[in-house]
Amino acid sequence: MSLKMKPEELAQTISYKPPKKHWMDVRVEYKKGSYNYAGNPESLKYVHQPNPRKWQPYEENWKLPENWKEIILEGFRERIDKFRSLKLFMDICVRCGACADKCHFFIGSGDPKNMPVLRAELLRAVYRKEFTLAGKLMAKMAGATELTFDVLKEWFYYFYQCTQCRRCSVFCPYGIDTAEITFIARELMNLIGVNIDWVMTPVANSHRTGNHLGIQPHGFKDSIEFARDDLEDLTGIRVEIPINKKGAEILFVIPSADYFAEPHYYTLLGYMALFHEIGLDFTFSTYASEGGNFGSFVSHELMKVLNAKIYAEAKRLKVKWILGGECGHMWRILHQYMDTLNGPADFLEVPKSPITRTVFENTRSTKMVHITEFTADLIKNNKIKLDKSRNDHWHATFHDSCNPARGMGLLEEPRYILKSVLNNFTEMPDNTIREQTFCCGSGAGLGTEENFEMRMRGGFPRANAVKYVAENNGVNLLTCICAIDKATLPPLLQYWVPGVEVGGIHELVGNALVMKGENERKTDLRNNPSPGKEDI
Amino acid sequence: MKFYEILEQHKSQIAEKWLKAVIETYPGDAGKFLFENKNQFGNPIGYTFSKRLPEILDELINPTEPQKLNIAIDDLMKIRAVQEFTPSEAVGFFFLLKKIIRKEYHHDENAQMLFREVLEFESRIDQAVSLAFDIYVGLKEKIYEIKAGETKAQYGKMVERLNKKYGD
Repeated sequence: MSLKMKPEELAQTISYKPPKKHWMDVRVEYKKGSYNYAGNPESLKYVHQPNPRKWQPYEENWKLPENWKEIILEGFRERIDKFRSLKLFMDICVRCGACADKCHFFIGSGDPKNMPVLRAELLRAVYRKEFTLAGKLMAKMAGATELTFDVLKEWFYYFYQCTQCRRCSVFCPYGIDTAEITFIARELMNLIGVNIDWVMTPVANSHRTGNHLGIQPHGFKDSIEFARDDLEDLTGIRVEIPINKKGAEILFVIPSADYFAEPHYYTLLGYMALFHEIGLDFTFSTYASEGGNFGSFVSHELMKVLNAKIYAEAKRLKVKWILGGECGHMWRILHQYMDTLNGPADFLEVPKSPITRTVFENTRSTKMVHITEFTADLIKNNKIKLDKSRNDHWHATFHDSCNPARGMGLLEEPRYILKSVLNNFTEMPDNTIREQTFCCGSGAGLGTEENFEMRMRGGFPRANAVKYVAENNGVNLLTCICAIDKATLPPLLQYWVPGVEVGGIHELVGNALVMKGENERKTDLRNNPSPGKEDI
Repeated sequence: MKFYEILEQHKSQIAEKWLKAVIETYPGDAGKFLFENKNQFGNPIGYTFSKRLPEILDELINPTEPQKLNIAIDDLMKIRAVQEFTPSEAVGFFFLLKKIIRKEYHHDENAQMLFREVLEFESRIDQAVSLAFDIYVGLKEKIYEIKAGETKAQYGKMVERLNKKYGD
């Protein structure tokens, strides 16, 4: 650059553009705020996973086994033979681009490798190179790449920037399920011990005690009893909470955050109030004390191991059927995999509501009913008394949690309940709800502190829609039916839409529920003054 | 004709060029999507920039109330502060405006004559950058506060229970 340039000429030479390289040639850089810490070796050992050691993704040496490439390629070959869907997904993509602008991480980051097609291409390129003739002969032309350490670093970076929400798959004309591609990529990396701690430690804990924080049976009992005391303070009614009760009619499985995190806890109070009011014969299990299945974020085998406790506990406690709480991916696993993983549940009966006598035909095979199906049925049959005005301090909208919405098609029941327990409800714009719902940006193990900036990017499309109804309609509560949502949407909204809170559907049910013999409700379940009771 | 009149006259073209330049700070194929998709909910980055940049430009040419500039810059910085940009890259898109104006309008005969106004306008841009930087730092602080609060909420009820049982 010449020093004789005039200032205005010099100004023209400053480049603000990112480097123009072929997308496959840009090396990944691990920047703070956009990756997750590596799995703790102790947790890996606990569940007998390969290559436990201390390492971090930002380090140069990942301490991989010497033959890591062979391990991955062998694993890849094995899975191509095993899963016909995988082979199909590797072969049939025509790169039409229908999915390209549908991923919340791409929309919120502007990083092209977060286009689902390109993310999947990271795996496909290696597939072509290793398993197709064209790729072997004419690598570059066929879009084929050799598996190198740089490629592995990209896999780790981008497959842990996918929340397996499946929004892209809704738009794929071939029905390619990118979430399943992410499943496989993570599974392959796990073969050489490349995984993240917010998946592996919860997996180890869930395996040991049944829930992801490792809470033991007496701790579980203590938590539930604490909630019972709180509910008594709020309503004046002391409810029965059966735990490990043999011969109960129903086993109730919830995400563990319901009994220790906020705002989940208020949903737990809501379930308890409801079950007491209708006199439900149910039980909690101290081992099936977590619906969430962190195993599904890393491998099919670990998903199966962690899922097994639900049927095992149902069998041990001799219940007739299973009811599940406001959990996210528990429902996708139930809907898509549970039957083949750990079924058939032929020792259970087809679920039938003891209150309304409704038979839940849709659950004939899995024997497990979603709490919103159950409650919607109670409301439809006028079995509970509700006072909507007790939720008048809320103007709610509903976030379709990805897994219940796209993973099992649960779209109407939550809305039906909301409209029955609440006067003020506004939907977000059409292309952000139901099947097209935008992910919270923190699912599938990504909801960590160290990954915070990435989560804010990924959650931007969701928050942007919330902002719209907050500004235009006065919405102040985002309701949802997933524990990860309840944990990660509050920080998301504090950043993008301060002033909007997050809550569960059964929290609002609990507020509106008129219980026989209750004290006058002066507060809602959050212990905030009820509408009209602010001065008391 | 005064320099501000020249700017006023070409405002929409300048804003369009500025938007294009900002979008080009995103890598590769992203630009096309961010620029062309006009859906408020399908493309919130593109939408927010195409709404806020002309507002900022307008305020720089005809300052009305500081709050307007603040709101518009805040919206943009929220996006840039959590994306893969260094702090200088995050706020640096204001300099792109200088570049556009220098390239297009410095050679305008009138602009050359109205050098004082040109300098004044550029210092308004500098002020906007300072404001953007303050907002950026404020947002980063907010992120740390939110992170701390998140950890507390994750185990909030457990801590409350322990305190109740064993005293504070």
